[in-house]
Amino acid sequence: MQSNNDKLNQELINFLRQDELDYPAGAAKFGPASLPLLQELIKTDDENLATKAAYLAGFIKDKSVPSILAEAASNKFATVRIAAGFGAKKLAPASASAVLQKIMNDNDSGVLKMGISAVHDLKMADQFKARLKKISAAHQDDIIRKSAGKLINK
Amino acid sequence: MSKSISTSKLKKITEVKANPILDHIRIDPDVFKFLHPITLKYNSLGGASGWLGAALTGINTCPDGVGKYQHYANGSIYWHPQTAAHEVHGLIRSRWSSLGWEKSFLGYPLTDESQCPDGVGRFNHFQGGSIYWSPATGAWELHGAIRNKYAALGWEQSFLKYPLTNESTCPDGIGRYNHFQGGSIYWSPATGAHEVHGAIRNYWASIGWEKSFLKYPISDELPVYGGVGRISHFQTGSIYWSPTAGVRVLKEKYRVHVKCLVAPVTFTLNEQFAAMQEVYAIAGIRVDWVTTENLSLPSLEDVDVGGCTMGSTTSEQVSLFGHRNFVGANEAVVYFVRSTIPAYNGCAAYPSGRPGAVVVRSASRWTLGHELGHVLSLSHVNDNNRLMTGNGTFNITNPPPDLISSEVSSMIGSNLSTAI
Repeated sequence: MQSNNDKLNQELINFLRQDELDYPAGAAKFGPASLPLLQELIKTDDENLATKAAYLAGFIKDKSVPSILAEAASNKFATVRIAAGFGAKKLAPASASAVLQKIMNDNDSGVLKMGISAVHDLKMADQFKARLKKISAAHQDDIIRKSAGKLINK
Repeated sequence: MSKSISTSKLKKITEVKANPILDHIRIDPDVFKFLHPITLKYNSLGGASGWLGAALTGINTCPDGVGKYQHYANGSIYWHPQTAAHEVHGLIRSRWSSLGWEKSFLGYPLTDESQCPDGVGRFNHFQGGSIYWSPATGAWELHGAIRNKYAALGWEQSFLKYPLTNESTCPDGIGRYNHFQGGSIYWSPATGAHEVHGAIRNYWASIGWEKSFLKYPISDELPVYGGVGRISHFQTGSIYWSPTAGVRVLKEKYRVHVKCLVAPVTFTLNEQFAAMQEVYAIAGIRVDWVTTENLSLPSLEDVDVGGCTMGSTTSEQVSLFGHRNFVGANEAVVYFVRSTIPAYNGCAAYPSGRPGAVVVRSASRWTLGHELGHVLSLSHVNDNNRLMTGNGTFNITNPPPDLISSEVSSMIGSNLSTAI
């Protein structure tokens, strides 16, 4: 017989298997109690599930979220690292810093794009000035170079 | 006693013998016996004691004044300068005879009666076609474009097996067909020759063959995107078959262009299109994957789709959906990306006038059909047996997922679904 925990876990996985997810509703429904499972799912080899788990974690308000996202920022899947950057936008700058230190030094263009966007939203350009300068001077992608340059000049 | 012949004289005689126009020349039999090619063929087959039996006629000239023939108890040998001498016998000879011998469109034989690779059937090729015989089917002729198609498919070794009819005229007096054990080949001047077989042929036959609304086939039966589904295209529609969908007539088409920023990893493009066609066949819609273009847009490989709300798009969606090379009116585009921000399997929110959807590389088998269903104005439902389940196409419980009649009506009502 399935325990309540098993049922909840299955419900959470089913939620993450949706095509179009309502993350705020999911965060409200599953709450901080789901974070240990989400943390496990983020580490799986299933890119789809791991990425959605990381996004959902970022929508949940809990003191453990910054460390979960910081760990996700080193994940093997770039899409999970992007989710970590996306979640960082919802943190206070001090909590987001550890996540963004990793994201802003990522070699993947998509991750870096998210990092620049988070730095912009959290008004943390001063903290990443040197890195932004380097990106604006030398990054291979024109759009990323320009967006980094814009942040420096603000 | 024969005289000996010098080498130079023998060469000269051989040259004369090889010239068919001079075959009436007789050389002193005491010097050198000169034999007609028909006689040489007859002798090679055992002569009077062979299976052809005794000659019933002399070597006669054909009505064209060029060819020659000789009839025997069990067959005939026909000779023409362009074809050499070949025997024809049995039911193949009867068929050839019934068509008018060498005066028919078949002309002179190009081969003796020969055994098919299966060791059972027999055939003669002629200048203008072939006659195939097997114990189960009898002897029937094939020619022209239909014979060429039969040859291209592998003759009787193909799924078509042996012919069951001569080439026959369709009731319209224009088209032509041969039926075979394993299908049919239909030809018309406008469509060329195409085979139809199996369940698709059975259905087409049931609605009246080429006299039906579908008219003539314009393709052979084809695999659908490498999957188990099969399709034959006709002048005014297609017939689709799969083990799960059965036979479906497709009268509408949904033209989809692929723009690939990142290749799918969980299911190939073929697998996703095959799955989509399997479901859309229920609605009578053919999914036409029209073009594929690889786009190098690194900054849009992870595309911000906001809340993925219909009628509301982000600047990145607007930028992405601006890439519409080759896309015509009433056609949709699917953009394959690494991920959406935030993560969905896909998103069908598109800028006004640029119908399309985004699908991520790790999407489910059914996501493509699901998202392009949204583009055709379908909404989510709370039923995991249906394509438009809002509970996730990864969670579909009884594949292939269903469409209900109201959804089918909506799909066909969309301006993106157009008549074939």
